[in-house]
Amino acid sequence: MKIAAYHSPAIMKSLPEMSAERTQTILSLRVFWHRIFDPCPTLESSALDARELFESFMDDEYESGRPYDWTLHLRLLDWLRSQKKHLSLATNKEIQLEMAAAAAYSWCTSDLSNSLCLLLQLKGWRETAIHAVKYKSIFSAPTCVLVELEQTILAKSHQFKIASNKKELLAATWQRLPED
Amino acid sequence: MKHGVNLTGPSNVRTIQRLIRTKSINFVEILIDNFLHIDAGKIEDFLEGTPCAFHIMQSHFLTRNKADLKQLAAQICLMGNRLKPLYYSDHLAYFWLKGRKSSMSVEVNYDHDLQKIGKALAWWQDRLGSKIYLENFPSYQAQKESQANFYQNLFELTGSGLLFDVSNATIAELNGALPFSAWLPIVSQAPHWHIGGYVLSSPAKAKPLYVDSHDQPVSDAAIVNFSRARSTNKVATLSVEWDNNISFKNWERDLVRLGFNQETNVV
Repeated sequence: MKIAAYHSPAIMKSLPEMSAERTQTILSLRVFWHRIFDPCPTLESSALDARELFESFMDDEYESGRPYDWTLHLRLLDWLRSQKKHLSLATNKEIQLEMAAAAAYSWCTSDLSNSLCLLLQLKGWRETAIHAVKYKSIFSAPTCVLVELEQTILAKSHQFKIASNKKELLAATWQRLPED
Repeated sequence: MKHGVNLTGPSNVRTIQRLIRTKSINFVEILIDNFLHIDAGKIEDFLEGTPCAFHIMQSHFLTRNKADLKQLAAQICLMGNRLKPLYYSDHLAYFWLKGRKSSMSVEVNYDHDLQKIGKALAWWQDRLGSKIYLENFPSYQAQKESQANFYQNLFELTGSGLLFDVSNATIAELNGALPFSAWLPIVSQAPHWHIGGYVLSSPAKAKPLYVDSHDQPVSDAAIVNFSRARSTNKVATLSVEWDNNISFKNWERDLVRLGFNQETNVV
């Protein structure tokens, strides 16, 4: 089957009804739905039509060729910002926080390096950032908290730092995520 | 035969600690790529002397670049040197396609990818310095070449082995992809086995498919298949997998249904 269909609602709808390909694509999109909305309940409840939002974003994201990695929620935030009808969602502080935390948590669970912590600032943030730490012991889950920065800096795009401890994190250089 | 469970992260660690302390299990299969940043000593303390095995999910050895794989292998070996796993196992599937992460693992093409996959697997196995046992895939669709034949050829080519997932083979049969009996000629080469729950997913206007979900008890069909395959083979380890709806009772009930005797610690 065309593997690309796994990520596009439009292509899914074009697949033959009652085919295994269609089922696999629906299941795959269901995983994306939960990945996007489970950590962002305010986004889901505030959207006028969460299903339409999801399908439009997934189709656009499929066309963009981006990797669906830990930055997925940041891409979604940019996408919301680019859509007039969704602009109020993109500027909602609670939704921004949920999406930043979702991206940071995704980094914690997908990054295999020895780095332990991440500092993430969304575009336009100045005094604050999300500080995420992979779990330190076998019993504890990753943590993502909003922190105030000692040195304020206006983030001109989404930016992040990664390090193996808090001290190194403060000294690390910000890396900007590319914009369209 | 050792009976164990799958340790995947903080969500199931307390339950597994209780299973260890009540002697309900006698080994733990660790999804090691979720624990690479944790000090091996802490894992050792948690195990309290219980043997472990390493299961790898995120090597993505078919698509990840070699520099990153070398780094990952070094981290896994460091853990392995300390924790001395009973075996190393991995998955044969695509998780990234054309530079994009897939939300579900994608089955490889058994019709014509043997040499390419064999080369990647042999290289990855060399980096780990240990035989890799590959888990069979819960197929959704039949291919011209059967998965079991492909695995047999792959093992001959690379010296790797089969991690026989009984429920995945049951799912493949239920989905019409491959009869369970296709595995019987090669399960004798599989000392390490898995079993777990699965679910029938029936979205509207789509073919119902069985999916490996690890969120419910092991099915009767999988238990029948387990007994059938086991009768002629020597199984060294069996890991009973739960990833959701985790509870001590659910795990213990499955272990008992599979014949684990807590009193004697044997089957």
